[in-house]
Amino acid sequence: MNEEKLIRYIKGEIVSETELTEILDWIESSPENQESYTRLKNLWVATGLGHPEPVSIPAFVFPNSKQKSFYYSFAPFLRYAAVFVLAFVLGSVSLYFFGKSEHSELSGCYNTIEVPYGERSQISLYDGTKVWLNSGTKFRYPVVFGSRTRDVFIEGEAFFAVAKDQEHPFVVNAGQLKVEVLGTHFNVCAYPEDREFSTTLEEGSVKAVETETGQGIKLIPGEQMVLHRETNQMRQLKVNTELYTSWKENLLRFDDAPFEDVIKKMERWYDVKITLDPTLDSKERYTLTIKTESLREMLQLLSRTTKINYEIKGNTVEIKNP
Amino acid sequence: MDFGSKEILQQIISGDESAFEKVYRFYYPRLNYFATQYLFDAEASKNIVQDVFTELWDKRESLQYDSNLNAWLFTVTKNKSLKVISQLKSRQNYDNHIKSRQLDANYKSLSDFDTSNFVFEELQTQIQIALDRLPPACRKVFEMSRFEDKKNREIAEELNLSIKTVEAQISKALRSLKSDLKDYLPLFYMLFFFQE
Repeated sequence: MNEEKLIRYIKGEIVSETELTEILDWIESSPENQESYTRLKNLWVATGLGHPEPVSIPAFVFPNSKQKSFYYSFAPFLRYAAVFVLAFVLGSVSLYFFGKSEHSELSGCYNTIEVPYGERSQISLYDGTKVWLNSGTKFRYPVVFGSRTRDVFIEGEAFFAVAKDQEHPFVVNAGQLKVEVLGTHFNVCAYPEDREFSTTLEEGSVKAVETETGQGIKLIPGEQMVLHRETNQMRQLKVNTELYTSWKENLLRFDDAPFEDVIKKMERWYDVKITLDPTLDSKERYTLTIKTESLREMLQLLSRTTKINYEIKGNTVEIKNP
Repeated sequence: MDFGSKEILQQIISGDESAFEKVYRFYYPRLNYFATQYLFDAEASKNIVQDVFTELWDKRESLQYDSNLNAWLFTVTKNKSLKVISQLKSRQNYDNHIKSRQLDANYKSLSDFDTSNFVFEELQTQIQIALDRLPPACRKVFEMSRFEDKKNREIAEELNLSIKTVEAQISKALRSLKSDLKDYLPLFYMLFFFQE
C-alpha cells in the first residue's frame, strides 16, 4: 500500500468498491498496518481541527434556565435551521495566505465566504461573534483575530452579534464605511452597487466612520446611519431596526417602502435580474413581509396594487407598463 | 481568548451561562468535525456533540477547578463516539459490509487518539509553526488540501501540477509535520511514528 493511496482514502477521495476493499484488506491484514492507518488518520484529523468547516450551530437550551438565553431572541431563525443546512452551500470558502510576514502567525490567515444570491448564511467567528450573511455578500475574516483589533471585511449585508471584549474593538470594514464596536448587535448594509451604505444598531453602541473624511458618528440603539457614497454625507435616523434585521430570520420586510426598493431587494432575495420599464412610475408604497412566497407569488402580489405586466425568463424578470 | 483557560472553566463551574456559550460556540464546530471524521455520520455526530455539552453543563459542579477543559471536551466526545461507532457498526453489519469495516478501522484509530492532555491552542500554534517551516510550494498544496478541502485533482488543475506531484507534496508535508511535532505533545507522541 503506498502512502499516497492511504492519504487519498483518508481524504475521502476513494469511492470505488474495488479500491475500498483493497485498502480495507490492507489495513486489516496486520496490526502494523492498522497502526500506520491510525497514525496518518489521527494526524490528518488533528491538523484539521483548527479549520473546521463553518456549520450552523444549533441553540444550546439550558435546562431550567430562568434567564433568557442569548439564543432565545434568535429562535425564529433557528426554526429555519434545518432547511438552512441544505441551503448552506457556500459559494466558496477559501483561505488567503498573505505574503509571509516577519511575525508569521495564525492571525495572517483569512477565510473568505461568498454567499450566492438567493441564499443566506450564518457563521460563528473564533471569538464567539455570530454573523448572519445576506444574499450576494462577500465576507472575509481572520481565522484567529490579531492582538489589537478584531477586523473583518465585508461587501454586501451582514448582521453582527459581537462577543464582548473591551480590550479588542471589533471593526467592520466595508470600503468607505468603517464601523467600530466593543460588543453589540448591529446590521451593516454595503453592497458595492448601491449608492448608499448603512448601519443599523439594535443593541449596545457603535461608531460609524466615513473612511475618506475620517468623520464619525456614534449611534445609540434604534438609530441608523446612512452614508451617501458620492457626497460622503452621513445622515442619522431613528428607525424600526426590525425592518433592517429581519432578513436573518429569513423574512424580508418592508414598511412604507417605495416600489424601487422592493424590486431591488427582491433581486437579491430571489437571485434574479429585474428590469423595469422606464415609463413605469409607481407612486405606491409597500408594507409587506416576504416569508416563503415564491417569486411568482410576489410579482402577483405587486401587480394587485401597481398596474404592471411581468414576464419571467429564466433568471430575468421584465416588468412592463401594461 | 483562551478557551482552555482555568478562568473560563471556573466561570462555567459557577454557572455562568455566557461563559458556557462562548465555549459552546467555539468548540461546537471543532468537536463536530472531530466526531464526523470517525463516524462518517453527520446526524450521529451532531447528537454526540449536543450530549457532550449537556453533560458539561449538568456536571459542571463536579468538575475540578484545575481540569483541562480542552481535554475534557475531546475525551468525552471521543468516548461517546466510540460507543456510537459500535452501535452504527452492528446496524451496518448486514447491509453494508464496507461501511462496517471502515468503522472498525476508525474505532481502533480513535481509541488510540490520546486526548487526555489535549491543549487545543498549543496544538494549533505548533501546527502553524511546523507549516511555516515547509517549502512554500509544499505548504501551499498541503493547505489547499487540508484547510480548503480541495480534492487532489482540483489542486493539480489550479496549480497546473500533475496529480502525482500533488500527492507527493502532501505526503512530504505530513512526513515533515510528523517529525517537527513529535516532541511537543503527548498526543503527537502517539501520532508521529507512522512508518513509510
